[in-house]
Amino acid sequence: MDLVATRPAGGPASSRRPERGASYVQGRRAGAVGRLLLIGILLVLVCYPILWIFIRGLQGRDGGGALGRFFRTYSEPELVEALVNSLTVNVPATALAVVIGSLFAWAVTRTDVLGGRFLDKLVVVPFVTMTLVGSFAWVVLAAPRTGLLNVAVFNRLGITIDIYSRPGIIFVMAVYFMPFVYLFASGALRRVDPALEDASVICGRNRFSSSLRIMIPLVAPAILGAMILTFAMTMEEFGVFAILATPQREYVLTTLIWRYMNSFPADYTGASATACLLLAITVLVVWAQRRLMRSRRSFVTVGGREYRPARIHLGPVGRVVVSALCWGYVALAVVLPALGLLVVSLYSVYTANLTTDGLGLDNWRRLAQNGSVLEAARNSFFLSLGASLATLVLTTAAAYVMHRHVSRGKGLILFLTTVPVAVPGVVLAVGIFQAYIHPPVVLYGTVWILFVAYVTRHLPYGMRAVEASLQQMHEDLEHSAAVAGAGRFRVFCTIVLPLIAPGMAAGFTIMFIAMFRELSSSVLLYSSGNIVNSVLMLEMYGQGNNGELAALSLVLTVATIAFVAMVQRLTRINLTQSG
Amino acid sequence: MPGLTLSRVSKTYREVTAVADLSLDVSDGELVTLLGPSGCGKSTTLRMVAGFDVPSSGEIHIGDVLVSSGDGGIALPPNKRDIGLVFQSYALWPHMTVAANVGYGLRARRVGKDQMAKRVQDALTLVEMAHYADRYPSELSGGQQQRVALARAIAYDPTLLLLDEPLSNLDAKLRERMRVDIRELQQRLGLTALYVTHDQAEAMSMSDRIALMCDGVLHQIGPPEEVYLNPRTPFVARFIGTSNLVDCSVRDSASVGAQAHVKMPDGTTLVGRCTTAVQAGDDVVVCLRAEKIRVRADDAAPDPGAHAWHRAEVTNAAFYGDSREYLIAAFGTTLQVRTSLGQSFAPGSEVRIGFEPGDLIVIGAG
Repeated sequence: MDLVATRPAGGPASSRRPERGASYVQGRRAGAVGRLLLIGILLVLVCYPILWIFIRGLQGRDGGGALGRFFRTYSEPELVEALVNSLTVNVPATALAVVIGSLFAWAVTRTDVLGGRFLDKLVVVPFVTMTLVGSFAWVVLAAPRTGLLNVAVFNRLGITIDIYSRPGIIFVMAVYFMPFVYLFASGALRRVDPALEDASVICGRNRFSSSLRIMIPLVAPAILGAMILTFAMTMEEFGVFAILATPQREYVLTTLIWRYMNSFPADYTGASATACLLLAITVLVVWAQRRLMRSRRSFVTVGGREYRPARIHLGPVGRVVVSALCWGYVALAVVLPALGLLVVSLYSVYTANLTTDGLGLDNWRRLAQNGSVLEAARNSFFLSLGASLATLVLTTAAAYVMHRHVSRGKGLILFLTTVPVAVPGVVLAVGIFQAYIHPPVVLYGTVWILFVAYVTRHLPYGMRAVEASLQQMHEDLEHSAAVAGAGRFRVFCTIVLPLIAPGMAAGFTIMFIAMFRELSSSVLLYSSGNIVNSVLMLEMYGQGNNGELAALSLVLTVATIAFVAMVQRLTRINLTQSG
Repeated sequence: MPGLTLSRVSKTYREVTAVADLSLDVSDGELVTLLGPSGCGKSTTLRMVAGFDVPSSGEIHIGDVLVSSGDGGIALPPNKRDIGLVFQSYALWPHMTVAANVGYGLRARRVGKDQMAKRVQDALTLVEMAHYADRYPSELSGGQQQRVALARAIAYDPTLLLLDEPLSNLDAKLRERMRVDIRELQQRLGLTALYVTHDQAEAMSMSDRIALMCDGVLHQIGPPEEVYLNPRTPFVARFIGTSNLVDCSVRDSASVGAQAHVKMPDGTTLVGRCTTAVQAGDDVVVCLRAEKIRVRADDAAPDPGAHAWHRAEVTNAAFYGDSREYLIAAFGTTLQVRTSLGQSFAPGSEVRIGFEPGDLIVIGAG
């Protein structure tokens, strides 16, 4: 953009150029310094802990040659068993989540199922609740001897369902990850041009058959991508296994790390080695997903236009059947656990005998007066608030730097801000622990170690929200401000910031919620006096404090849903689609 | 037996009437174009014929089969109507090859594999895309995709061919070529066709008859020449060709085709030809096509021709390579005039303009 050339004739242009030139160069230098600072911060946040994982993890057990040590560590029976457990639960759980999620998405977006709009909102509720809360609710419902469902219904029929069993755990995992697949699948289905299905109908196939033959192959690559990501998420899941598997001394990779860190004496080498293995798996999986989405076979453009396709009219019988199935699933996955928690919260003594005495608000009263709950809530609140703001600032800066395509370091910044996606929470915690337990920077024992962990883990969330907003903003908007005379800083403050503010608000909300319920990193990094909500809840479960835990779970779930709904209404952004 | 019949078809959405009481026939082998601006109801009509929408009232017959009846509650689904449809966005399935796209309708009709391969080949040859059978749509240009969409629509020899603004996504030169190709194909195969567009050049060059629609109402239907020379409503006069429309009043009563005197805004009385019946004193709209107005220098020797020359002043002049266009103030209004190359008149010059009485079209404004 050559401002000099467009100036009208009259007056020597050269005499005015140096002024503009000087400030332009100054601006560039300041920009370069800022960029270096940003990259420096990101490198320390992301790479420093991971480096430490590798140092300890690849060291292996003491004694013997390097290769021998390595081999001994990774052939340890506990590790191998944990790996097998992880895979034998998560692979079926992912498959189940994908099947249910895709079918549900198809039913809600493509057919005239009854109450589709409500189904769309309700099915996502498990996604918003903590898996810790969800697992606890299912324990309340389906523990073999004390579960409400067993006592009230199944035992009378002579059967017992055991949520602690492998099928039980697979079920809970599937229910809590199905919404993720649903969001992906329904988004993809909404982005397919309906004319493609119409064209099939014109050629002679009825609409049902057209939907199957055309829609499914078109969204299959997107669903495959979702499946791979879901698998990565199941591999890094901690809460469900802590509640359902640990009591039986069955460990998966994540809970094994936790066990190593908390054993006496602590086994840091074992933890690091397991962390390395888990990291290798998740990195491989995420890499595979990226490769897949980039290939030609993906027919749905991310962020493409959304259409409102014609609905398939299921016949009267079909409509009843499909609606019953969908609403039945919602009742099972959403309503039943909530009811279970409500029931438990209303009984001062935890029992499966539901008589009218013992009913009361004792638990709720105790919860309101529980000092440690209030303290933990306060900790979580301020920590999440501060960390969200810090991450928001960092990712806005990073996204903006990348957005101006002349900048160097773009690839590095992108890499650093998206790598945490592939790093499980426990793994990152192990690294952060190793990194900050000794000099040069000692953060262990303070709240700052949690702060660092939260910021690092949630960089990708912030990046995604801000980047999406920036991409939608046409660069001519900035150019026209520059032509009118505004310097880069003014353009950023007066043009860019106001326009991406809704995206930033959405990102902030997502991060805040994610941080508030974060468990897998917190459980390894907290110290007394710095306990956060999620860890406290895990402790309450361990102590058998079920009544108060149920009440607290309900409060948190309702508060989260209300918060999300409020922000969505204020910013008019669909948070489920940008999340 | 007509290939397509619409009888008093209406479509209303709550308070909005998209199509009002539309009746028209398309004869077997004829190409009729629904022409009009956005929102005139032409796309809605097409969707009703295709079966994606149901008329609020009225009936649609394809051949002698009743496919839609607004009052009778009959709505044959699109896949049973045996029609071909070329979509505006082509709607080629990206995960299938060109051959698979074209053969899809044949597969749905359970045509045998060998037969299908042959018919796919034939259809592709007709649109000159035979060598692209194994390509994917994303590898083709816009024009090529359009031809594949056409091949897909005709591959199973439908009873009726529908085309929904198929050329609107192509550039001008390609559009000109495709107009000819589509028309040739339709005539060669003897297909009954309903074409929807807002582009009058397409409509004029391709159609056996043009149906002009505005705000859901059918204004006029007839062969292109008829519609061009004898527009019967101001909308039709304005939409086709470059027209000057002037509100006037008529002095005589006249029947269709007869001459009548009209009084222009500046008081001048001119003789024109009526396309509708008028009564003396009626408000009328007078239509003068830009290319029918002749321009002559003011001081030239009087031309012993049939028509009178009127004084006028040039207010604007533009050169288009093959023609000149002027804005000329005359009769108390401004007229757009197109002339072939010849004498050029600068803005501000006094000139004389003239035209045949038969070119001054008088249309009742009612």
